[in-house]
Amino acid sequence: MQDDLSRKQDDELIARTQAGDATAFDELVVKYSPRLYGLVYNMTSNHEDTNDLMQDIWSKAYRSIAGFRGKSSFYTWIHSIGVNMTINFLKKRGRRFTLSLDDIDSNVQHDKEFIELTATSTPVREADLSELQKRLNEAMQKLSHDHRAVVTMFDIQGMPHAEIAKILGISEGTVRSRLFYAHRQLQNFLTEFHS
Amino acid sequence: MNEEQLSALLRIKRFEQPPPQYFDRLLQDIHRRQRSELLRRPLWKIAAERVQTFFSEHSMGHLSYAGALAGVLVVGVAGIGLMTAGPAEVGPVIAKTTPHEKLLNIDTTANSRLVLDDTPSSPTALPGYLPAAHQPRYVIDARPVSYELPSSY
Repeated sequence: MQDDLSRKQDDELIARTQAGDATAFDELVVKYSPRLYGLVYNMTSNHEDTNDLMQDIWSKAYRSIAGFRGKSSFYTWIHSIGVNMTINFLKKRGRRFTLSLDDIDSNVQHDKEFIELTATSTPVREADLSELQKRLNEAMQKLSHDHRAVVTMFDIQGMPHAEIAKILGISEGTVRSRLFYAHRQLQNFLTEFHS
Repeated sequence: MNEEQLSALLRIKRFEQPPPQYFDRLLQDIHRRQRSELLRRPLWKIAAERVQTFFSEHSMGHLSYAGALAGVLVVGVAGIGLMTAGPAEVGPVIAKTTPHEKLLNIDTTANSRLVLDDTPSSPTALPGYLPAAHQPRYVIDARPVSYELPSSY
């Protein structure tokens, strides 16, 4: 997931942050926020909640970075904080939430994968894009927090099983089994949409 | 819907991103939050940090830092000791008031009476200490009241 050069750069930025250089921490924020945003947003399905959580996550990271010893990569570390804080937030939020669906980023229209997906004779082609988003988010929200976290990291963010296992502190086997059940559940939820 | 179709659907979600300027604003929000968290820190933490900075700026060794800290601790303990010693003197209220009272002789119809001595108190008597002869004695009814010390019998 992360090459050696990127990890070396991170180590340097962490060392500078630990020495009191706040700009180094800013660089880490800029580097990891887009991916972290994707993770949190796809778990909450709400941009306002995601924004609040992003601030909480980075604040916690800043307070804790003095104790970061590099046993895992910064990528794994910040994602662990992100997932745990998001799951805690979701547990507190319970059922009272509203989906906030923004338009898909305009870049998507030029994305090869997206063009292929909507051009082929899949059910997706027929569907309105916003309806598609809505269905997907609703189906995601029906999953348990743990299953949603695994689906978000694997299917949406494209992380390998080993990385997800490290972030969640579980075995790869557990990751695979959670994915299996989550996919089955999503398929059931989306059957109506498909037909 | 098969596995492949589901994966394709889920992959679309990675394009759900906030507007590009969002991340600049996020950085500003994080800075603002860090500043407000700094202001909300407890006083003792700020004081400890300033002491630490003072010693590090004056390039004093660990030993001098430890010595100064020990000094502060000794002064603190002594101060607490003095503060706690004060209220202990206030304790025996009877001892302070007794010398100024001429006589307190409570005679009730109950089975016992409380008798206090009317002997003038010694001006050298320590506050808080009442000599045995001056201490109240509980006398049971139908027995002669004596002001003599029990040892004089």
